[in-house]
Amino acid sequence: MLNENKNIDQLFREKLGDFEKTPPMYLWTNIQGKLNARRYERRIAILKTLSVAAAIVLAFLAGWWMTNPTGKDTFQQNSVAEQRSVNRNVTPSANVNTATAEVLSVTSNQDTSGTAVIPPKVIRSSSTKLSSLATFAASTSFLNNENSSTVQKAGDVELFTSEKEFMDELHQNSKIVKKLSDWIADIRKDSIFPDKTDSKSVVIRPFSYSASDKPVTFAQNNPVKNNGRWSIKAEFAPVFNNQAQSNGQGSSAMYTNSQSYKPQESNTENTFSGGMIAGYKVSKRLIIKSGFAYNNIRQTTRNVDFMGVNPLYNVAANATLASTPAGQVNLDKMVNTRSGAILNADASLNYASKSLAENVLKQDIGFIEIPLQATYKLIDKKIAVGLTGGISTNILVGNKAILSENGENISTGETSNMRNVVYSGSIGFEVGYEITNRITLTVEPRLKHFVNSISSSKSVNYKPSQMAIVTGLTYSFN
Amino acid sequence: MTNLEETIQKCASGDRKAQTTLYNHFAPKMYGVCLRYSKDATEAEDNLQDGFIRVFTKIDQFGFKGSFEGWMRRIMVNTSLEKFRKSNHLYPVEDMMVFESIQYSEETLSGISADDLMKIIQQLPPRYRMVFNLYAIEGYSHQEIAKLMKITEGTSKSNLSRARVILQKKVIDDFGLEKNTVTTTLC
Repeated sequence: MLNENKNIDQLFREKLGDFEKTPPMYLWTNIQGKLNARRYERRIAILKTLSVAAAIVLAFLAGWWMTNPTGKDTFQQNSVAEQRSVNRNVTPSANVNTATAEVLSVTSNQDTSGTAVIPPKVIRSSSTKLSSLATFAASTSFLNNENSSTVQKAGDVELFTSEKEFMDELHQNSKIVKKLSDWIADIRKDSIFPDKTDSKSVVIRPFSYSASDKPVTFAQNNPVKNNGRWSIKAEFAPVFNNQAQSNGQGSSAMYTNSQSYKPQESNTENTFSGGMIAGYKVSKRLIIKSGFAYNNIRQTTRNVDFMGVNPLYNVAANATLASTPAGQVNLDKMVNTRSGAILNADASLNYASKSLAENVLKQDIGFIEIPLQATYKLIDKKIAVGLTGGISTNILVGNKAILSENGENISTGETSNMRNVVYSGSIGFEVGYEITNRITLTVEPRLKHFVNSISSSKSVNYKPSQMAIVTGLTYSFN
Repeated sequence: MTNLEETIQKCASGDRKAQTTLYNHFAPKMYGVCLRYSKDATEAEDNLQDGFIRVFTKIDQFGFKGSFEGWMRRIMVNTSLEKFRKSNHLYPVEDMMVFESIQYSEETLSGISADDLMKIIQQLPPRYRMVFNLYAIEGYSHQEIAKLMKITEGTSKSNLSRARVILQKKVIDDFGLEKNTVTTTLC
């Protein structure tokens, strides 16, 4: 019966080719856990990408809004118009006001909206005429006095004073007033046609004369200060961590009876951080900043103490616990521990033991940092120097731990009891170099310290200090 | 499982219920595959776990062109091979050896259980186990095995030959089988 005989290959193929066995129940739980973790990580990654994209779009929009000439003009018009109406209410009895009221009455007849004395379109479409009006006014002798030149330096409110005086003088010269009225009437007539001429507003030009008779160029070269207040900064930094070592939950007392085993060693690794920060200039030297940055803490532990070990079997319990300065790490797989390597029990009768192999446990804890900082400029020139201080809210976004034996990853998990929100303080010394009017390169050594422990566990006090060399590129909307 | 295609599509969209159904249906077979490639149950469980995670993350790439079970099986085999490669087991054996092929009768074979054979195969040195599984059970050629394991064809043949010798000896020792016919072949 030779053909019924089988060789060794056939024997194994037939018996084992379709071999089935039900795997242990916990395996599916583990798989689900890992799939959930992957989903969470993917969401975080998407969130990070979206935040960066949103910041870039925001920066772009802010830049567009700040540099858009139409937006700037509207702002200038409103500010001048509001100041006019305020002045009318404050000084009703002055002679000056009579003159102002007279001029204003010409426009308010055509525009019933009150504060918007001169409609924006009127101004833009008639800029040529207003420029000529300005040139005309500047050529008159009364504007070349000392008063108007000092007024011009002092800003918008003072400019109105200049206007008041301008009107006052006008009032005394009825011919000029009449001519001006005619011009304004012409302007109104023009306003029904679409804007064909210079799109730049010249609303303040008639009132912003310089003694050198260059009214038009003055207004174009000196934008209103408010528009230079916002800035956006992209920053990137290598971060050097320095964690004052605190004992983890495996206490040092365990080593009294275990001199032959290497003690556990933990150290924090250097990382990178990056983010987008928006700045607002409160005054010439003070800038308030806020935004977001990604920051993480990496800790490496060698010769890990495994907790919760069953001393009878030398196997860590189902969910293996490793003890580190940042807290206990829950690992998803059991670790075979060395026979006879059971260390002394600590006070809570937890047994700790050493693994069979050389092992390294890496913990990665990620935060999205939302800072609130203030920078005071000590020197504000082409090379600027400033002091920055602030507080940050750090939101936990990543918590991962990987245990490797002989260079091979054997188990993953996470550090337990991490706080979702921790606070930190920072101080930095910023040196900036103005590459162009708008772009500044800054380098800032910054010290950061966590105010509260990143772990909510009472037995863990982990407040890392970080030193970062922050390189930033600032774009100012001026 | 009523409709495999529908379940696969649901799994691809992340439906947890469908994933559970798929797992329950295929896990025993795939565990069988993993056990053959591992030294023990713990290693097999690790490979099965990693293999299934890979199945669920790549299930949207399954093109419904061949058998889904075959696709899954290949993932399990590849996961086991990768694990083996990472652990870097070195058995630098290149020499050819004469293998005595023994034929067993149906009668004698019925007395050997699959569990017994599984234990024997798991005791093989890892590289022999991989090559024997790939060649004798999965049906790969030496050329394919050489590519998969990044070894030469000669090494693959040599490993298979050594695996056969060890397995045969084990079967005879454990089950006291006698040779029915002896043919001498060169692998």
